[in-house]
Formats: sequence, structure tokens, C-alpha cells
Amino acid sequence: MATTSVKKRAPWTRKDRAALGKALLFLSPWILGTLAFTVFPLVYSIVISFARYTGLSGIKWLGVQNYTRLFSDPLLGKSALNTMWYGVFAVPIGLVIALLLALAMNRRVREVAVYRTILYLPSLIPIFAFSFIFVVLLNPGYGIINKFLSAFGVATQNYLGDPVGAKGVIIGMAQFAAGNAALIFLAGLNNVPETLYDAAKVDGANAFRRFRSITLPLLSPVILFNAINGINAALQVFIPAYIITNGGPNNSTLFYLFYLYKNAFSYAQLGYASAMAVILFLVGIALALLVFGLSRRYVHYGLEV
Amino acid sequence: MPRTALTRRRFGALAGAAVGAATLTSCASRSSSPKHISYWTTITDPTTMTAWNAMKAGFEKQNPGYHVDILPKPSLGTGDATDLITAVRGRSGPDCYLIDRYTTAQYAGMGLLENLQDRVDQEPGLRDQYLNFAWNEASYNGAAYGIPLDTDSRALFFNKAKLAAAKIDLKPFERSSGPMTVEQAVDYGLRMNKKDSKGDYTQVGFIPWQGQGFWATWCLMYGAKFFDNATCKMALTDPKMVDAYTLFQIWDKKFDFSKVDAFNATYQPPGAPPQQGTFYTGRIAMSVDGNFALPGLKQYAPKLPYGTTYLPVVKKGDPPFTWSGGFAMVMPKGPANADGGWKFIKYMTGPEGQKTYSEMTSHLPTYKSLLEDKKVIAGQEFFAEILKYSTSRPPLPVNAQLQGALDTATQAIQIGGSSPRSALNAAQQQMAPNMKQYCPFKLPSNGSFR
Amino acid sequence: MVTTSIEPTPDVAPRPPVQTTRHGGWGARIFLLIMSAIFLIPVYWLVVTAFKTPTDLAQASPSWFPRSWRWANFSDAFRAFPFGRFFINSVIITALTVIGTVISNMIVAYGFACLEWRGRDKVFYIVIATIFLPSAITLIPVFDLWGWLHLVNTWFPLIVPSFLGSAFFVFLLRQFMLQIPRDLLDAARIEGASEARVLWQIVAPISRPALAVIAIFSALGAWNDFLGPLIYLQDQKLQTLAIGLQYLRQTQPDKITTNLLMAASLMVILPVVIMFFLFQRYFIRGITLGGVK
Repeated sequence: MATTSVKKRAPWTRKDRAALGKALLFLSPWILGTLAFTVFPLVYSIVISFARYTGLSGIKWLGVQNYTRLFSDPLLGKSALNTMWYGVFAVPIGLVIALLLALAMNRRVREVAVYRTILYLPSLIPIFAFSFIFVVLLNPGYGIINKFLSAFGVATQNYLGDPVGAKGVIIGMAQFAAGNAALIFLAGLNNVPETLYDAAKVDGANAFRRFRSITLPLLSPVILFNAINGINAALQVFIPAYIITNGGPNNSTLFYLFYLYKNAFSYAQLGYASAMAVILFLVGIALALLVFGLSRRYVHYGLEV
Repeated sequence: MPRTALTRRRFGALAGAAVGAATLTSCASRSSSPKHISYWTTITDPTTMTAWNAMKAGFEKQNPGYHVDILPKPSLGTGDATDLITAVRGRSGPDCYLIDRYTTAQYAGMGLLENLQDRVDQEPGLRDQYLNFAWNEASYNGAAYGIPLDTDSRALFFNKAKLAAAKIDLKPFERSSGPMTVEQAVDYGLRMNKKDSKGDYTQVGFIPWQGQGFWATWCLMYGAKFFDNATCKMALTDPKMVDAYTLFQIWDKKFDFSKVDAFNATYQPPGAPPQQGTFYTGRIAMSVDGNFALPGLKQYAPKLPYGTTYLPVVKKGDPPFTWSGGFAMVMPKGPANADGGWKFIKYMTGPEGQKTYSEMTSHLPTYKSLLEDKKVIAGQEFFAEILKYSTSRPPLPVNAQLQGALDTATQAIQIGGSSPRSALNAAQQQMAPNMKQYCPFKLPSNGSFR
Repeated sequence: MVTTSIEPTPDVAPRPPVQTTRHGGWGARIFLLIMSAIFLIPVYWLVVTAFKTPTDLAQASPSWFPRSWRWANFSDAFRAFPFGRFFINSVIITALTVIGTVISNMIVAYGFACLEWRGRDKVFYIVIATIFLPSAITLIPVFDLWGWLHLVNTWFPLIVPSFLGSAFFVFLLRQFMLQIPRDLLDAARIEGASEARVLWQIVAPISRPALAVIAIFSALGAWNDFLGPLIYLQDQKLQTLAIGLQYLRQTQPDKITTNLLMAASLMVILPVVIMFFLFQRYFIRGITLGGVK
């Protein structure tokens, strides 16, 4: 589709205004929604982030005290670090697993429909129910993981009682949603014209080269999409930790949003929690800009013929 | 392409019906009849639920026409009131709420609770009926925000059969011998540890940090104050605190913490039936617990040959020691039925309510005269008796978070390998700005227990 | 500039399986087999544990199969908490969310895809930007908003937002609608059709596959939602399955043993899985729509 290129600073014609009016009508649900659930929250959060406010009694203005407190709060640092850890591992691993699954499924193995169904199945399970299952799976008394590992002589362990183990469990659990991203990749792979590969073969490119110079570039928009999804989810990871470990052990699964939730809803420190939210918001914007910046350099939108 | 199930007409009809349904179900979630009282309880086990229902029946019988709605609202951890905070902010809170008394000051300070002082003032002599420490715990800045319900005390529970099997002399476990030292208790425990061929524990004599053996017990044993009343500052790095937390470090060297954790997860996993409790099954032989553990022992391990004695102390010859907590009835902000709620609170925490509660759930009353009633304290005489040695945690307006910060400090030592001092420094650093918000603040001037 | 994107057909049908030289591949097959096995373990363990007896569970070493299949776990779980009520609540909330999502996003996406107006692409950047908005920043203010409206502890906070569009769904739908040939719309407009009519009679039917996708996504989202009910629903009568299960776990840890918890979880998952098998083609096609750039 050709992009509508409007000359810079051209005056608004009556036709322009009429078109805008019409568009506004259609956009009105989104505008209302954005005002109520984006603009208002943003403004409100910023305002109360400068106050001590419980939502139950009056406001006490604190200036930037909440923000300075953020920097001296050991738990905040820990929760930010936990979230970063999670993101640094869960997102790339997730992309790689999903891509590998998609590539394998793209090999047109005859029974691919069966794999597709099985691999997608865990994505259907609500995260809270999946969390319950993992608690059981990992338990030395009820679960199969310890039993399986003990066959190799590994001593019984409570993985959820160990900081690295617990974080690993939550990262590992997230990988079971790879089926979703894999299917998106698969669709992307389906769109790569077969003729390109044939041509490359004629030119003597090996499989790895074909992957690097054909598959990867053509798949880059899909990778971008999945990466954005992944980062967004990582910034807000919360529920598995809430259910499985309640943030422990030793706060190793106290993720940023979990700590924010606690401050807001368990301790009614809305001002402090809002300061946390504002920071998270800024980080989210920074990451988004980063990803889009990268995408401008690396993402190919379609083949230029 | 398969036909979508939603044709336009059906779509419209469905939308209309659904919106209607939502409107219907969403209103009338809170009634404000003067004779209807809603009560949320954070203690929801079957035994206690039975007691609540008995107390409700007693109240409704005494006040014909009144109706009490009991809603179980389990809390996520000690002192957690997330549900209540959410509800009150959403203007859908109950008339009465059962609160971990230790956190009353915090929730009063944030504006979650109604000040009950005016109502208390209209009942001359009410305050004197209650244990002083319990009343203090339910107050904030000198005003009552709650009325105490129960209290408790802690002791050392031990399995006589396991001690005998390990050829341990029972003499030090007799109450007449007075309290043993912590070191002694832990050493007896170590003699009862058993491992299997893989090196996994199958029996652990004594896990001193487990159950009621958390930081509160050991800090209070050393006489830690948690707070400096003169300067209005948290005192978490006080030498007494460091001494107490050094215990966790010492124990960490004597036990393999992760092995003990795996032992617990194996033999008493979350979601296991209660009769699988490790003390009931003899997998552990000693434990720090309170009188509230008695009904479980009776129900799930009626034949267990157990005994109770004083908590261990710092050094030989120290006087016996224990500490007490408990719950209070409070009125959350903006109740639909404040007068009805107060009526119910008075009944529940009054002699009739407390009597029923203590007898049915094996808690001690905070209503002083009931402590003299043999029938009320039947079965928990020892726990009532040691109240004379008891102490309690200071009622600070940051206690819910303090609980979390000190739990974290424990874990930092046991799991993170921190030194006691650095673990406590982190707790202090986290709690200091928190407490600062409430200064100037003074602890109640009369700090006596009774 | 000509770009070969997905063919601008109204249906996102996957290409017919092309017989190429790339079939077979034992390496791929073995990898898929192993991954499938791993992905099946949680589901397998869920089913097996849901049928175990308490004594079976108390064994020090767990068994791969239940020693006896205990169907009563399901009726016990049913009795242990108001499963039926939670289930109906979840169904109603999910249905309303789906309706709201489909209607609102269709309208908004039309505004971004099928109408020409100045500044459209810039405004669309705002839409994309709001996809990134962490729900964290909205958590507190939106809660207060519902509190001021006295609508906490009702279903409104869970349902109303779906009627006001979602950046992500607008994004997906717009991508789809952009592929509809302009000529088709212009022809209708020349014949005097209003924009609403063009939307309802041309764009909506063509977009049905994409609408089905966002319906499915929003249904899954609503069925699986945890944070919303956790924050907004205190009244047990209003609670959904997600919170119901957690409730079951917390309130009666002594009564609700692991086998009952698994039985209850299985009953929560079953409707989703059945829906998946019924609409599998849609699901698979739909998920891949995300891959459309």
C-alpha cells in the first residue's frame, strides 16, 4: 500500500477537516479508552508519585522524596534486578526455542499437525493453573522432576527453595508458551518464497548461509513482533511468582511489578508505588525506542523486487 | 472458511442480554440494613470457623433480629490485609474485621480503620478488663482502633518417644528443671537427625527457625526492642538483634539449610493433608510452637507422646521466657453499619465471645478475668501460667512491612549467605524511611504486660 | 515500491502444503518429538495427579500412574468450593469481554485502516506506543477511578475496558484491513454507502477471520485473567475461576489436597482445550495473523 504522504505544514483544507471529523467518530471508543486508561493514569500516577497517599486518608506532599527513597530501597534494587534477570534469559531463550520449533515444523514432517497441537497446548493453560501444576511437578514429594533426576544420582532438592532455582523455574515455565511464538514464526516462514531457496542452492549456498541471508532477514519483522511481546511480558512478570513462590526465597522472585503491587495494594503506599510505576514507564519507553531503533536497521519489510 | 457462530442478529441479542446480566449481578453487593452486620475473618480453618459460627449464634440469640454474615478472607501471610485495603478503597469493606493485632497500628496509621476511642469512652472501665499489652497493640497514638480478642504463648514441644529412642535424658525436658539453653536444645536436636543413603534427611530432630521459631522468638529472647522510642528510629542493628540473628548463622553451619528445605518439601509439602505434619508423624522431634497448636495435635496425632516445656533461653539460669501475640476485632473505614459492627465487636471481644473462642480454638483470652476461669484455659494451663513471663513485640505503625523485612533478613543469612550485620543493615535501610513518615511517634507509656 | 506481502486475500489461509525437496528431515522430527514430550509433561502430570488418591500422594516416591483412578476427586473439588458459580461468572465475563473487544476494535481499526485522514500514521504511532504501556502504571489510577465510581466489587472494571478498544487488537485488525482492496471500498462509497455501511457490510464480513482471532485472544485473556479479579472482586459470589482456585488453595489447605487442586485445575483448563479442538483451524490461522507485518 502506498503511504499517504502529506506535505509538511500544508494548510488544512475543509476536506481534511471533514475527513478528520469522520475519523474521530470511528476512533471515539479508542480515544475515550485512551483518555480513561492511559492519559488519566499517566497524569494521576505522576502527580501522586510526589506525595504520601494511602487512598484512605488525605494527601501529604513529599516533593521528590519518593524518588530518592527508590534509590535507597534495597528491595527495589533487588526487584529491578530480578526482572532484568528474567528478561535477559526468558526473552532470548524464548525466541530461540520458538524459532527452532518453527524451523523444525517447517521441514514438513508429515505428522506436523500433531506436534503443532501438542506444542500449542501449554499456551492454552491459564498461567495460574500452570503455576499450580509446576508447584506439584517440582515438589520432592509429589513431583516427577526430582524422581527423574534422582535416576541420575542427583540429590533431592526443593528447587523452589533456592534463589537461582526458583528464578530458573519461573523462566523455564515461561518457555512452555513458546508454541504461540513458534506458530507466528511458522507463518512467517510460510511466506518465504520457495524459489529464493532454490536460487540460493543453485548459487551453492549451504543451509546455514541460506538461513542467514534468506530466512533471517525475511523473518525479521516477525522476530521484532515476538521480541516486543516478550519484552512487554517480561517487564510485567508477576503472577507465577505470586502463586508459586510469593516472591521468595530471599526475595529472589520478587519481580518489579510484584513489589509495586505489594506497595500499592498490601501497604497502601500509593505515592511510592506510583513513583515505581513512573520509572517502569520510562524504562518501557526507552526499551521500545531501542527496539524500534534496532528494527529500523535490521528489519526488512518485504522483498524489494 | 467455517462460518462464524456469531451472526449479526445473534450478536446483538447476546450483547443486550449480557449487558443486562452484568448490571443485575453487580448491584446490591453491600446492604446497609441496621441489623445486618458483615464480618471478615482472616482465620479460616475449620475449627475456627466452627467457633465463629458459635459466637455468631450467641450474638444473634442475645440480639434478636440481627444477622451476621461471616466471610472467610484468608490472608496471604502474617499481617497481610490486602483484601481489606482493596475493599475499603473500593468502598466495599465489611463492618468488622479480624486483624493480626500486631499490625493494628500500621493499618490505623494508613487510615484503614475507624477510631473506636469515642465508643470506648462510653464504656467506663472497659480498657481495664483487658491485658495491657493487648490493648496497647490494638491502639495507635493513644486511641483504640481495635478491641483485643485472644492471646497466646510459646513453648518447646518435644516427642518423648523420639528422645528416648536417641537415648536422650528426659530430665532437662521436665519443667521443674527450668528452661534449657538454645545451644542445648539444638544439640539434642542434632542427635536425632537421620539421613538416607543419598544424604537426604529422613528425620530432623529440631529445626529451630521453623514454625514459631522465627526471628520474633529469638530477638525477644535476647530482649531486642526493634525501635528506639527516644529518637523515633528503628533499632534493627542493635547488638541484641545482631546476637539473635547470629543464631541463624550458627544454625546454618550446623544444618545444611537446603537439605532441611528439601526435607520439608518432601514430607510436608504444600497441599498435604494436615495429618502429614512432620511433628505429628515424628519426622521432627522438637518444635517451637504455641497453645494454638494443641487442637491439631489432638485431632491429627492423638497418640503422639509429646510434652511441652519452657522455651530455651540465652544462658543457663536465665528466667523462663515466652512471648505473646493474638488478634483483635477492628472496624474498617466507612462501614455500612457502624453501630451494628460495634455491637458485634463488643460481644466477640467481651467475656461471652472470648470464652467461646478460647474454649473452642485453644487460645488464651485477653479478658483478664477469664484467665482465672479453669474451664476456659482447660488443656492449656501451662500456657496460661507462663504468661507471667511473657513479653510482646512493640506496636509500631510499620509492623506489616517490618515482618517482611525481618523475614528477608533471615533468608539473606540462610539462603543468601549474608552476615547477620549486613542482613540487618539492609532491613534497617528499608524500614528507616518507612518509619520516618510516622514520626513523631511514641510507644504507649505503660508498657507492662498485664 | 512494490512489496510482496501476504497475498491480499480476505482469508489468511495457510498455503497449501507445497511438496518440495524439504520434506522428511529426521533431525527435525527427533527434535519435535523430544520437545513434544517435554511440553506434554505438565499436562500429563496434571491429569495423573488429578486422579490420585491421598495415600498415593503420601508415598515418598511419586508413581508415574495412579495406583487407582479416583474419579471422586472431581466431585470432591466441586463440593469444596462453589465451582459452578465461579464457572458461570467466568463464562459471562468472558462472553461480554469478547463482544466488547470485537465491536470496539473493529470500529477503531476501520478508522485507522480504511479512512484517509491527515495525521493518521502519526496517531497510529500513539496506538503502537500504548501497546508498550506497562499495565503497572494504570493499576493504581484505574483502581481509584472505579473506586470513585463506586464500581469496585462489580464486574464493570473487568468488562468496560474491552468496549473501549485495545491498542494491540487495533494494531492486528488494522494490519488485516489494510489488505482489503481499496477499490472495493471506494466502489461502495461511490454508490453512496455511508462509512458505517462500508464497515458493516464490506469490511466486517471480509475481516471475519481476523475478528475471530481477536475474539479468541480476548476470550483466552478474560478466562485466564488473574490480576483483574484479584483486585476488583472481593465478593465471593462475583469471583471467577482464576481467583476461585487460588481461594480454594488458601482457605482450606487442610481440606484441599493436591489431588483436588489438580482436579479443579483440570476442570478449568478443559473448556479452553475443548474450544481449541473445536476451533483449531481458527486458532492456528489466527495466531499466525500476528506474524503479518
